[in-house]
Amino acid sequence: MISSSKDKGSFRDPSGFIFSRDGILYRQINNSFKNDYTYLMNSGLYQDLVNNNLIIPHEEVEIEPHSAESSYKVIKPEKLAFITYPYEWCFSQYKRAALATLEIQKTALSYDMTLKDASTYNIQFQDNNPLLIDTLSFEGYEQGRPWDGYHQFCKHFLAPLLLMSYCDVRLNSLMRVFIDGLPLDIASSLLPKKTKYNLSIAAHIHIHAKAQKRYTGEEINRKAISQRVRKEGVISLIDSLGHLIKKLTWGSEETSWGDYLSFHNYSDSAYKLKKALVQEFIEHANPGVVWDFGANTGEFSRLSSKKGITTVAFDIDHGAVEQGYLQSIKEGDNHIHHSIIDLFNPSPCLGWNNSERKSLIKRGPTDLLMALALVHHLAIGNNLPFELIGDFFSSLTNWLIIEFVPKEDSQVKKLLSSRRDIFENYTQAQFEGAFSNYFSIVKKEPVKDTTRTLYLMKKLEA
Amino acid sequence: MSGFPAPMFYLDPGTGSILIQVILASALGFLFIIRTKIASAFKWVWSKLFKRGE
Repeated sequence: MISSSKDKGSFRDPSGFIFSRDGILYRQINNSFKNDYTYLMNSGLYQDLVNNNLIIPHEEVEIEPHSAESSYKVIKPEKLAFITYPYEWCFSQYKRAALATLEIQKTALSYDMTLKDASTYNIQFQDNNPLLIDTLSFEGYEQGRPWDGYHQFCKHFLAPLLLMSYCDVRLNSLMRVFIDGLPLDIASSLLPKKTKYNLSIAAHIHIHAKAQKRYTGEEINRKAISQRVRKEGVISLIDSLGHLIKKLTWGSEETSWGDYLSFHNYSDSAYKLKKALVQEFIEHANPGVVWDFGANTGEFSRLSSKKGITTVAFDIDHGAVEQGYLQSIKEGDNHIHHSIIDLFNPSPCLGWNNSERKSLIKRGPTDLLMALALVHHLAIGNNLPFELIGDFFSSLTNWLIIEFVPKEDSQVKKLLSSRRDIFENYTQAQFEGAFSNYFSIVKKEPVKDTTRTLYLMKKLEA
Repeated sequence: MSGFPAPMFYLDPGTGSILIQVILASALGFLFIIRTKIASAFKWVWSKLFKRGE
C-alpha cells in the first residue's frame, strides 16, 4: 500500500483535497468536481489565468489517488517556495492579493464560471506575485445568481485593507483572531466616521454590516433572489470593489524601522565588510533555503536570494517589509519572500484542531537562519536569556549566521538608555557558552571598525 | 440579546448580505447599462460629426 497523508487544512471543499506523498504535494479532484474541472480546463479559463500569472500551474499525473473511491483525477500543482498567511502580509501584499482575486473572478465570469469563495487563504505569493492556489474554487456561473464569495471577500480582503489604510496598518493581525475573516460589524465600528460618507465603503461595509444585523435569522427566498442579479451587475460590483481597493494607500515611511538603512551605526567600510563576511558564510553553508530573522527591508537576505537561493525575509515592522517587498518587485528578485513576524509571538497553528493554518515553526526547518543585529533586541529589548534564543534557533535550522552586539555598541546603549541594566549575563562569553549547547562555532569574525562579531554556527548532531 | 449579529457560518453570507448584493448589483448594473448606452450614443453622434467633417 502506498502511503500518503491528507493535508489537515484541506477539508472544507468536497470537490477535492490536498495530500502529500514522498514529500510531494498533490491535489485529488473528486468525481463531484469532474464537470467543473473539465469545463475549467477546456474552456480556456485555466490557460488564460496561467498566462496572466493568476493561478498556480499544475500538471495532471497518473498516480494512485489518496481516496480511490471518490477520485476523478490527481493533479500536481507547482511547488510553492514558502507559505504565508494574511496576518503576515504587508499592505501591498494584501492589496495585490485582493486585486488578484477580483481579477480572477472577472476573468472567470467572462468564461461563464465563477469563484465559489474568496478566501485569503486561497492566495499565496510565488515570485512575489499573488496566485490562486485552489484550482477547485471554480464552478459554472448561473445567470441571475449572486456571487457567493462577495460576503467572504468583504470579510477577508476589503475590511482588513480598509482598517490597515484608515486606522492602523497592524490591524491585519485581526485576521489571526478571526480566521474566517473580519466580521463586518467590527470593521464598521472601528473605521473612522468619515468613511460613512464614502459611497463605496458605506455600501460594502457599513450598510452591509447593518443589513446583516437587521436580517439575522430571517429566511430568504433564494430562488426569487437568484433571478435578480444580472452578470453586468456582478461585474460592476467587482469593478466597484476594485476601484475602492486600488485607491487605498498607506505610507510605509512612518514606521520605526522603515528607514533603517539610513540610521544603522556602521561606517561604509564596516557595512561592506559585514556584507562580504555574510556572503562568505552563506557560501560555506551552501543552503537550499535561508530564513532571515529581523531582516528589515531584506538587504542581507538579498545576498542569498540573488544567488538563486529561496530566502524568506522576516521582520516585525510593516514599513520595512513593505519597502522590502516593493524593492524586490522592482528588482525582479523572485527568490526572496517577505513576511511580517513578531518573533516573541510567532504565528501559531490555527483553525480546526489547531491544524488548518501552520505555525511558523511547522513551516520550517530551514537550512540556514540569519539573525543579524538581532540578538540585543531579543536579549535586552525583551529579556530573553541566550539559552532560550539558542534553543529556539536550533529547532529551526542546521546552520546559523548570528551577530553578537556587545553592550559597548551604540545601539545597545540606546536600548539601555531608558531602562535599568539588569543584564549582567549579557556578555560575549555567556553568549558563546549558551549557544554552544546547541551549535558548534564554525567561524568567528569580528566586524572591523565595530565592536560586533559575526558567527557561523552549525547545529550539534542529536 | 447581545446586540451583535448572529455568528456567520462558513460561506453562508446571511440574508442581509445577499440583499445588499442584490441591491448593489442591480444599481451598479443599471448604471453600467446607462453608461454604455450614453457612450454608444456619443459614439454615434461623434461618428456622424466626423463623417460630416470629411
